[in-house]
Amino acid sequence: MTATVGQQAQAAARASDVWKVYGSGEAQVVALRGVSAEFERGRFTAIMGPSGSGKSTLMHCLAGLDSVTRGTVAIGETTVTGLGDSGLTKLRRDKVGFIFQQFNLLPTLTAEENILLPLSIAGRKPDPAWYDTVIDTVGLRDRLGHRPAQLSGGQQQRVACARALVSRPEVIFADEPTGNLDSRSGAEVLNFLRNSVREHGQTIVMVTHDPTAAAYADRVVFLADGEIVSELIEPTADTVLDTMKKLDTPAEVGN
Amino acid sequence: MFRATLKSLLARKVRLILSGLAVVLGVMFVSGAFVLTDTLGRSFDAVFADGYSEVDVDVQAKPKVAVGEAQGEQVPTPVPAGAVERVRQVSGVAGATGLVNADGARLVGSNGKVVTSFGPPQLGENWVGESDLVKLRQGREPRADDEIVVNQALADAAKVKVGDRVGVLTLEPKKEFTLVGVFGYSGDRTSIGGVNEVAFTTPVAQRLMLGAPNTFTSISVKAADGVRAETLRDDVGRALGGDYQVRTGEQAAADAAASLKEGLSFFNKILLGFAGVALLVGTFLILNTFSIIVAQRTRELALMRAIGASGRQIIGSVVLEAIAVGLVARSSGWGRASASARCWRSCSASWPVG
Ligand SMILES: Nc1ncnc2c1ncn2[C@@H]1O[C@H](COP(=O)(O)OP(=O)(O)OP(=O)(O)O)[C@@H](O)[C@H]1O
Ligand SMILES: [Mg+2]
Repeated sequence: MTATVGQQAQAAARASDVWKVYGSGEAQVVALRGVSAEFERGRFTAIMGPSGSGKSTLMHCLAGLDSVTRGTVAIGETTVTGLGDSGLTKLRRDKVGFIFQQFNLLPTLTAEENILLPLSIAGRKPDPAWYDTVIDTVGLRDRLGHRPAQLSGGQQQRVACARALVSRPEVIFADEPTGNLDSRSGAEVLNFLRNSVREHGQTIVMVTHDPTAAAYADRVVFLADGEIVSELIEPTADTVLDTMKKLDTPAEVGN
Repeated sequence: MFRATLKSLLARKVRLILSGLAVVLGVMFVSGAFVLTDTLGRSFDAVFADGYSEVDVDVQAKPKVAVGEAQGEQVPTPVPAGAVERVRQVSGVAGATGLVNADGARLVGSNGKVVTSFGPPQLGENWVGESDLVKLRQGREPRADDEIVVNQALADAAKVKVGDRVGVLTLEPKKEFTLVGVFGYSGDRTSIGGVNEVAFTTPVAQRLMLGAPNTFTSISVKAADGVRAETLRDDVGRALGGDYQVRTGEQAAADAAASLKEGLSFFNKILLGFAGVALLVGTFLILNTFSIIVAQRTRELALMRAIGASGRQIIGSVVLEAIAVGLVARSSGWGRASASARCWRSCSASWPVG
């Protein structure tokens, strides 16, 4: 199924008939089977699905962290598929930001240094006004000199969010950013992500298992067995839960 | 990026030092084996080159009975005093000195114990005066039959000083002498390659070391100005006839070093074998160290890559770490190396040279 056709100019990230096959022969795993999806600019999209359904794989393929077996991926106007190493490096510097579930930060650098690391790797200076805005939004001004070990899990994830935001990428990909957090610090991080979409027009694609987290998004895409099986616009925790329940049954029959 | 790498290096000082240590050990294995082999060889060359540095032409009597190399040391055939006179008559000779020089003069130390050697000979010789190589450091030369001088290394080992009555064991049973002087060598050395030397007056040396009066071990010939050693060698050889072996000093030094090194070549081979094994072990040790370091850093490197580090930057940061480990290894290796070099120099006095 193809999600949200049209509005091509608007798409910040696009996957067209993407297949991803790991291994070969007996050990072959088909992680993605012809996924086509668009993620509009300035929107917060959640990707949900059972464990092993290919959510992380799809995200890695979209972000150019992994190559696709078939099909094409594009970020903004850039076609990611077929890019060489230097092209991918440039893409990561200019167009995408990442938030992982854990190990987001270099333990030896302070929060501030971690936030500025992508810019310093690229040899750039931050835009001071934007930097201030980001720091104020994540509410970490008094923690900038601390190292990750001196921050709580939620604060660490907010540092990771700030790092992804500070270079103003085309898309931010977040793989279960609240997976390790309790509901309160999870809510802080999710609020912050949603605000950066509402107030600053940031595009975010987030993988999650949690219906409550998905409810923060503008739209939810459901994956099962490497295929997009459903989608919800303006989801609430209840509608997400309902959809998941509905999907569970046919998916198991299909297996 | 550079700063991030440096910070992560500094934050893991223990890892840095330990991996540096592994590298030091690896390098030490290899270089230790090579240095030892090389130093041994060179110190032999030096010992003999020094010993013959004052000699233009060396005269020895040909052995009456030929002794094969494998059968051990050649027993020197004594040179009669008359030969020295004949050499002096040869034109182009500035001076000819009869030398007595034989292993087996053992000094009794101040504690009543005989000074032992782990290999270098304990030479008993006749005192033939100072030279560019040999200089008296204290006292004077031996004049009377019961006076001796010894080299600094021996005086230190025996803890004796000028004026002491000391015993010396030679071919004859223990005899008492007065130590009247201590000598050293050019370059502030106390011995040449750890050899202990006791110098008597010529008649005493002949009696005690050779067991025959009016004989010498060899004749050291000095060429007059402008006379080439090779020419002089041929002239002296003609004057003395076929019973004598006449060589230039250089030749004599090379021969002596060569026969000794030949005897030690098996030792060299063993050491080289060790060096080979050490090279292998060292290589693996270092290789292993770095694969562990990189493995530990993969997560960090993967994150850097994901947030925009280029392949070259990642390689640069790994190389930076390698250099840092190398620097740590070098600074600790430096101390170690110079310590072992000092140790080598002080040990070389008692190292088995002969
Ligand atoms: N490097 C790999 N080699 C082989 N198979 C892989 C690899 N990475 C993922 N897979 C397989 O691809 C499938 C999809 O994995 P993926 O990580 O995308 O799942 P996911 O939806 O993110 O699951 P989770 O919710 O547990 O994180 C799984 O069956 C997984 O075993
Ligand atoms: Mg996953």
